[in-house]
Amino acid sequence: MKWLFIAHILFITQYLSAKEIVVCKSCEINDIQTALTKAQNHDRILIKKGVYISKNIVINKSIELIGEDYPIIDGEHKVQVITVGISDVTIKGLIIKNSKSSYTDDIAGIKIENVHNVVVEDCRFYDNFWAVYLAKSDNCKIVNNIIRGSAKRETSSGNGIHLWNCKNALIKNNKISGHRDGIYFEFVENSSIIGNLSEKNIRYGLHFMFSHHNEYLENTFRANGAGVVVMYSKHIKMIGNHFEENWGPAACGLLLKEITDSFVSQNVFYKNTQGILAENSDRIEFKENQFIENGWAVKIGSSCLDDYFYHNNFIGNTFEVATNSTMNNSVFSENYWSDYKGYDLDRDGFGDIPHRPVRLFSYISEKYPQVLILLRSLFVTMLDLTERYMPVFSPETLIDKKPLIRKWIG
Amino acid sequence: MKLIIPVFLALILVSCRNATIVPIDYGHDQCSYCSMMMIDPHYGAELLTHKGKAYKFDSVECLAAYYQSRINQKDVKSLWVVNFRKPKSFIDASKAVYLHSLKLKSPMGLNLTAFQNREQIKVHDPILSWKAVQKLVYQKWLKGKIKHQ
Repeated sequence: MKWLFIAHILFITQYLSAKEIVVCKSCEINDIQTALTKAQNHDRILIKKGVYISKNIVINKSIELIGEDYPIIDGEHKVQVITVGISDVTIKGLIIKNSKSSYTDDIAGIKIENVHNVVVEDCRFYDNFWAVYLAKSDNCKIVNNIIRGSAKRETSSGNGIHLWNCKNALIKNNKISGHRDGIYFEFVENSSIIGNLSEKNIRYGLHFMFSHHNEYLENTFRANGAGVVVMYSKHIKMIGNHFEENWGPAACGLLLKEITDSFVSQNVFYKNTQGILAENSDRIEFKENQFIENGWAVKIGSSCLDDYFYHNNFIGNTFEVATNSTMNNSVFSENYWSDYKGYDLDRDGFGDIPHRPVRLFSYISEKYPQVLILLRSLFVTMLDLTERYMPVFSPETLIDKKPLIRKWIG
Repeated sequence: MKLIIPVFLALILVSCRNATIVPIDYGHDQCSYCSMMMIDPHYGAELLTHKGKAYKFDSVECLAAYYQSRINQKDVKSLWVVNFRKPKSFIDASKAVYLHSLKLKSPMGLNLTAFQNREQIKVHDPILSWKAVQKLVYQKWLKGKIKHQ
């Protein structure tokens, strides 16, 4: 009890010693750098509304940097706007804009390097080269930010939220657009990406490279070069996301390349050129996803082993499944296919004959993309029909033996 | 009808051109090895075959991996990499020098950047030859798991 009391006293004195420094244009302290030199650890710097020019603000004390009515911190395209070089910093309620552009130095709106426990909350980022850049930093939170880049097609931009070599990060409820990749993970572990909207980025909505044991849940990826690209990673959970309107000759909702032991469930793939494109990806469970009105719902390479598709709905896709060889090492079972032509005479809820989701024509168009021009022709319809009744080319094992007769609704 | 034949002939002739480097359309083209969209004009590579086909890559490491694992090396006519100092312009892969440094992060994470010569490199980090690059990529990516497609 005594210890508790002492601890309590210590806590209170700690609390009392923390002070608030107010920065405004007409105040005694009218720029952020001066406030930082006066501040002690655990202080709070309150910035009132106004425009502040950054000459590379370096935060080297564990403080809270709080904006009131969104003050603007402007890098004037000359510097990195804010650099965080110490742990336990909170940045909240600021507008951060116009960082310098550089291909060699990775210059950002906020750069967080070699530290822990940094929170960036409720900020807005406009026209930065990279918006938020984390390197070798653990336990950081990037929450409720709005990030707008000005990237043109010609690649003049970095990523919205970029993590390199980090652990235990939380990226939640951000809105990101106009960057190269919306969110980019390279060598990141045990992190979560939840409830973000990533749209109209030049390349990808979300991009994983060499990042294991991560999850992304309930995000929306709309109209990016491709929705989400997961490469060279293991143990990724992808649940409840929306992949929408990723149109283009090679665009896709979700590209999986060299992924193993992962879980893709309850996602919606709507109007993408390709819903899922998987190569060299093993032991992945695809469950309860909705594939609606895509060009190709699923393209699965023959290099994929032991993937398992069940309880998915395939509705109104031009091609349901395509593959690049007559070999297949994946299992499709109990999915709903809107192209299924069979009946359920014994009324057990499953079609009486197996469904073959691979059309012969999709196999041909995989090898010779130019033939797609014949897609709606009579010839192709006959070709598919013949193949359906006398299968020769389509992979013998790529069939759904128990196609659902009604949509899966959980 | 008279027009169609010459047009067809012209098309056939066009498609028979010699192997030359095809410029990379950044923000649009895909890497032939890793399927990523190419986006950074400081990086890129190309492989030309004797038949005249051009394969494009987003990075030096993808070129090295493709060259060693996905193609018969006898079919390869020439290899090209983008000079970091002159975005979008190509140099011969075997004559280029390769910086291996954390200070320049290449698109595929092996941190290899191509330059025309040593004088263009301003940091003091290891510089590799094309042979050494192939060895590095083999060790890091291909060893024990070359999958031919």
